[in-house]
Amino acid sequence: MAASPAQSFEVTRTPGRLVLAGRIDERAQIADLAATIDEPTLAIDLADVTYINSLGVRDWVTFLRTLARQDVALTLERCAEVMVLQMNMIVDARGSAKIASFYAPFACDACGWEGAALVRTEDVQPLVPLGRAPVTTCPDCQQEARFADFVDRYFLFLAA
Amino acid sequence: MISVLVVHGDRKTQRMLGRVITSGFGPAVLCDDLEAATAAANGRTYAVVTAELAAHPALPGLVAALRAGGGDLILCGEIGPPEVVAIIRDHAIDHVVTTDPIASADELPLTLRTLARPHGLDVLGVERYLGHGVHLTELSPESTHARITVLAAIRDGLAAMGVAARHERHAALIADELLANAIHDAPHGPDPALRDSVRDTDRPLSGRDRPRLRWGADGRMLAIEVTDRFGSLDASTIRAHLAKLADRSTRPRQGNGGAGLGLAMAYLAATQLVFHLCPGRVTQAIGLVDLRARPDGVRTLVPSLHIFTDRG
Repeated sequence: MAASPAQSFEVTRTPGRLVLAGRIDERAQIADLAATIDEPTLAIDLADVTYINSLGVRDWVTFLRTLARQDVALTLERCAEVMVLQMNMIVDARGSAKIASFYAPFACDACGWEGAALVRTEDVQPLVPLGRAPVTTCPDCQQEARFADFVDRYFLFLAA
Repeated sequence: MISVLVVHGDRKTQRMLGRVITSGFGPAVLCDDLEAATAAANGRTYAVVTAELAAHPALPGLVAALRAGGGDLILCGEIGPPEVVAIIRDHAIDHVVTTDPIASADELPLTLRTLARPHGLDVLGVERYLGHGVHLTELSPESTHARITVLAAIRDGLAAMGVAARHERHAALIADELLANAIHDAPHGPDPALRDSVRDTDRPLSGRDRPRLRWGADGRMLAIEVTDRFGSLDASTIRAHLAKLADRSTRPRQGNGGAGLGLAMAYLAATQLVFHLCPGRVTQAIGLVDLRARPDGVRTLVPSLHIFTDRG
């Protein structure tokens, strides 16, 4: 059975930028990718990472540590919810990277839609100390959709 | 004879908890504080203690009195993740009900009914957490890497049900980590040196080495059960893994084996994580995920945990 895109791991590379997509697990070998990076600044787009397990977290942490040793200034963009979950559990899963934006779970009380919406760190960061969460517009019914997790829990990684 | 104590300083909460337990299990004795509960512990006694009392200096005395009679403590209430895992670790707590026990009235009586079962019986299975008649799918990986195919089948099934994508991801993570434990760790027991089998090489699984996964979902709950036939996992190992959540500076274990994070990750992805441990025979791990968007009293900072150990 051929692996579907969601079951495989793909890296797309352009100058100063990586786009990671699919599963980060023991087969992704992401730690080996760091040795090929020779740029002083790097942005990594994580929007299409669909899954990461404990072995993937270990490799991801090793990848970040290697980049830090190489003095690469790293920015993580459009972090998928699965990556946020890991960054909330382990400080090293974020490392010293700057987080530009990330996905957060929302739910619409009007139509029952549930999904993730992209939020910018600079918009969310001031809300967190106040115990407030961003809102978004439901893509189905255009009503206001509310944040569907705990502020204390989901945005913990922003404090690291 | 089994007795149940409800310990809380507030009379209204006492009564509501007492009703939940009496209607779903049996009579409960209401106690105003931990000292009164310690005095009331007699024979096999289980005490339901709310989170506000978790840091009270009298708690260790009550835990000791309960365990001396073959009973135990069930902690309930909303507690933050670092605090709850510290309590689990420091007092060797096996049962934490983090959902509102009144809004979600089935978890506490079900826990008591399971604790009250005679030892030496078979493990109970995932059916008891789902609505009557729910179809269960059974999957058993034929090789170590076939785990990926099993996960894809679960995600496809959940997508067909219209389950939200994040629940699919949580389900896949729970299934993956519990299966990885059953495949790679269970055959070798608690010795970490023996666990470091290389995981990026595919090898066939047969006989006792082949774990069984069953999963099903009703409109409210998704349940994943993984069973191995080694029974090598013990409660203290589970608690030690979960204790890593008390400190976000935990680092993944290096080497060819597991990262040492799997159980903690499965716990965080679940609404409730349940273990049935039959030493030397069977380990059954069940992860439950509440599928509702914002169910009252159910979405909490940290999942419930139950470790049932058969001493028969």
